[in-house]
Amino acid sequence: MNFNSPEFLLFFPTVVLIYLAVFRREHLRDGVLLVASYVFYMSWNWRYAGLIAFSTLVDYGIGLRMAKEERQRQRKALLLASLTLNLGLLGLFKYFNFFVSLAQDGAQLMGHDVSFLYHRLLLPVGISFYTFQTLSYTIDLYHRRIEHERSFIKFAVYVAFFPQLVAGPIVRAFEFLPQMHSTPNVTRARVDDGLRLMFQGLVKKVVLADTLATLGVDAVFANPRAFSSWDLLFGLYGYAFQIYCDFSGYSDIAIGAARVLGYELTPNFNRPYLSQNVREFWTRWHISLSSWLRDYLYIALGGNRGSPRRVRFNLMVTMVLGGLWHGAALNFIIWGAYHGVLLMFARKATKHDDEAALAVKVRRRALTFHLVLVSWLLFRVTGWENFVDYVWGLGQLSWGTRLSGLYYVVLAAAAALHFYPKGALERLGERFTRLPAPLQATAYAGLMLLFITVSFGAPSFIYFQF
Amino acid sequence: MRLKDLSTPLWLLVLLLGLEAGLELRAHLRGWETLLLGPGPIQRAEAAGDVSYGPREDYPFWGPVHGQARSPGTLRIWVASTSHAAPMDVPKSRIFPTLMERECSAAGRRCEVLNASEPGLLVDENIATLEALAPAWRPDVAVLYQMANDVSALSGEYLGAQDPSAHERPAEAPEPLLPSWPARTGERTTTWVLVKTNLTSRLVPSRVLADGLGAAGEARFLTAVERFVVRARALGIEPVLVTFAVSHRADQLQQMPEPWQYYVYSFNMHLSIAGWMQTVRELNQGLYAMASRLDVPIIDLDAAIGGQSALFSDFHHFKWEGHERVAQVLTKALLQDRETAR
Repeated sequence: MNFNSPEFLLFFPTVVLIYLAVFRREHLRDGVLLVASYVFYMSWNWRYAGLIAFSTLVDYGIGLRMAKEERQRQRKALLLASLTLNLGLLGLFKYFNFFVSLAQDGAQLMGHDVSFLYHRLLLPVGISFYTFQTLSYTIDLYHRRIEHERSFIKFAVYVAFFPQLVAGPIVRAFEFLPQMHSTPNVTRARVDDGLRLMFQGLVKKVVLADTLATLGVDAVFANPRAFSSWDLLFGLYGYAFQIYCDFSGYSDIAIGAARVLGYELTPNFNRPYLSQNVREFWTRWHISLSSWLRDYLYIALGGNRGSPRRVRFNLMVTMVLGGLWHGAALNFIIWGAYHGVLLMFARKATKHDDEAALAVKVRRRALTFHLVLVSWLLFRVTGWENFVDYVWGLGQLSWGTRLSGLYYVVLAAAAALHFYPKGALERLGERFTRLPAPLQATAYAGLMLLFITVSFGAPSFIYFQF
Repeated sequence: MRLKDLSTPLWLLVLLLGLEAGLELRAHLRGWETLLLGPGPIQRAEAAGDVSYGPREDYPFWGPVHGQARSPGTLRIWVASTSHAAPMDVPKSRIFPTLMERECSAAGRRCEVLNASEPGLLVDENIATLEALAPAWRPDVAVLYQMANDVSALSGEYLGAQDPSAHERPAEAPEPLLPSWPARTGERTTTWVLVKTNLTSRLVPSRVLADGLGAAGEARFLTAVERFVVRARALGIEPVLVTFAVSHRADQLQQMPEPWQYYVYSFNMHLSIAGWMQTVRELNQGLYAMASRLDVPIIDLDAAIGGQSALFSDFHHFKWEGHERVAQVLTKALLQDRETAR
C-alpha cells in the first residue's frame, strides 16, 4: 500500500475516522494506531508481521530487563543480545545472499559450489528502518539516555507507526515515546497543515519524481548508448532531483500523516543540493539516517578522537556501512566508500560559510552538487556494464536530445521547488492553510486530477527497497 | 480531536464525490455505462429488448442464441477475440461474428457463431474460456483474432520502468498481483477514464517511446498463440489464425487523426505509433511463419482491410462498415477452406 495508491486513499481516512471516534480514550487510541500500523504493514506481505512483532517483543523485554538491571556486565549482555538479534535478522534477510554470492565467486575459482546456501526469503519491507529504530531504543537505554517504556502497546506503536514504518524518517525513542504519553495535539490548523504536507509530498512524488522517471530518466539509464552526452547529463540531473523528490516527498507525506494524527516526526531533508561541501550535504540529506550513523556508529567507533588516520578509518567504515545499509550490492558499497573519501577531504571545510562571497558560495555549491551527482550515477546504475556505457556516453561530448520539452520543464520545476527559500515556502504554506476549508479542498481536488493525469503506472518509492 | 477539525478533508471528499456524480450523470445521459449509475439507457434497452441475443444465463456468448445440440450440416464457429468482436459502439446485431452467420446463409451454408469475445481479454484468457466452454458447445473451428491487449500488457512488462536493482536484489515488495479492489474501482470512475483518455494520453508522446515491442515480447505473444493452437487441437477443434489489421500503414502515419493517436496512447504508454505499426507487422509475419510451421489455416485480414481507415472507428476497432467487411472476409475464407478440405 503505497502512499500514492488508491488503497491508501481509502485506508488513511478510515483510520482517521476510527481514531477520531476513540480519541478521548488513550488505550483505544493506541490500539487503533497499532492495528492500523500492522494492517498497513501486512498489505505488503502479511507473513512478515510476525517478524516485526517478534523484534518488538524482544526489544521490549530487553528494555524491561535492562531497566531493572544495575550490573554493567549484565546490561552489556542484554545490549549485545538486542544487537545480535536485530542485526542478525537484518543480515539474514538483506545481506546473506549477497555474501553467499561473493563467496560463490571465490569458491568457483577453486572448483567449489556454495550456491546451495542461497535462501529464497523475500526482504521484508522497511526492515532496515525499524531495525535502526529498535536499536536506537536499546542503545539509548543502555547509555541511560532514556527511560524504558512500560506499555507494550506504546512501544509496539513506536516500532510500527505506519506513516514512517517503511521508509522513515528513522524516529528515535526519546522523540516519539514521550508524545505517546500525552494527548496528541490535534487541531484544525494542525490537520490542515498535515494535509498540506501530504499533498506537498504527493506533488514531489507523483508530479515531479515519477514524471522525471517516466519521461526520461528510466529510458536514459536503461540504454545509455542510445542517447547523446547532453541527454545523459540531463538524465543524471533528472535522477538527482527524482531521488530527492521521491524520498523527501515520502518524508513529507509521512510527517504530514503523523501530524494529522497529532504526532511530530523529525524533518529528513533540508535542501541538500545547496550544501557548500559534502560534510554539509550529510547534515541536509536523509538527516535521520546520517544522524543515526553519526550517533550510534561513528561516535561509537571513536568519532573525531584519535589520530587522523583513525578518524579517516572511522569515517570510511561509517560511510561504507551506510552504503551497505541502502542495499546488498557492490555499487552501494562503492557509493558509500566514495562518500567516505569525499568526507575525508571535506573534514577541514567549514560547515556552512555564510560570510563567503556569493560567487564563492555558488562555486562551492556547484562543485558539491556535481560531486554528489557522480555518487548518484553509482547509486542508479544496474551494473558495471551499465556504468561503463553511461560514462563512455558522457565522454563522447555529443549533442542533440531525444528528451521532450516537458522533461526539461519538470526538471526545472523540481529544481525550483528544491531551491525555493525554505522560509518563504513555509510562509506560503501557512497562508494557504488559513484559507477557508472549501478553497483548500478545491485546490486539493485539482491536484488529485493532476496526479491521475501524470501517473503512467510508475514504480513505488525508491527508498522502499532499502 | 473533533469532527470539525477534519473540515478540509471532508470538503475534499464532498467535492470529489460531487465531481464524479456530475460526470457520471453526463456520461449516463450519453448512453455510457458508469460505476454508480450502471448500464446506460441504450445498453439497458438492448439487454431488456431482444432475448434472442446473448449473453444469457443459458448462453454465454455475444450474438444470436443457439442451443448446445448441433444441427446436422451446420458449421459451428468459435470466435476468440476481444473488444474488436464485442458490441462496444455497435449493436450486437451488427458486430462481425453475428454478421458471419448472415454471410454463411448468403453463401448457401448454415453457420452458428459462438462469440466468446470479451473486451480486455488476453490470449491466455481466451484459451481458458475455450477450455472451459468448448467441450459442451463443440465448435468445429476456433478463430483467434487479437493482438492489441497482449501487446499493451507485454509492452508494460518489457518496456515499462524497471527497478534499477531488481536484477541482483530479492524483491522487497511481493510479486505484482491483479489490481486491488480500490484500484479497480478507482479505474472504473468516470473521472479517471476521462482524465486518462483526454489528458494523460496527450502527455504520453513526451516520453521516450519505444519503436517496437522487441524480440522477447514478440516471442511471448507468439508462444501464447501457439498454446491456443495446441489446446484447440487437443479439444478436437480446428484452430484458425487471423492477421491483425490496423487503420493506417506506416506510410500513412501522417494522416492518422490526432484523437486516434491519443486513443492509442491512453491504453499503451510505452510504444510510439510507428512502434505499434512495426510490432503489428512483425507479429503478423510471425503468425504467418507459425501457420506454415504448424500447418494452421490463416486468414490475412491485414491484407484485406489494413490501412483502410474508413472501416475503422479508431486505430484498431471497426466501424459498422468495418464489421461488415471483416465478416465477409472471414466467412469467405472459412467456407473456402472447408470446401478445399472437402
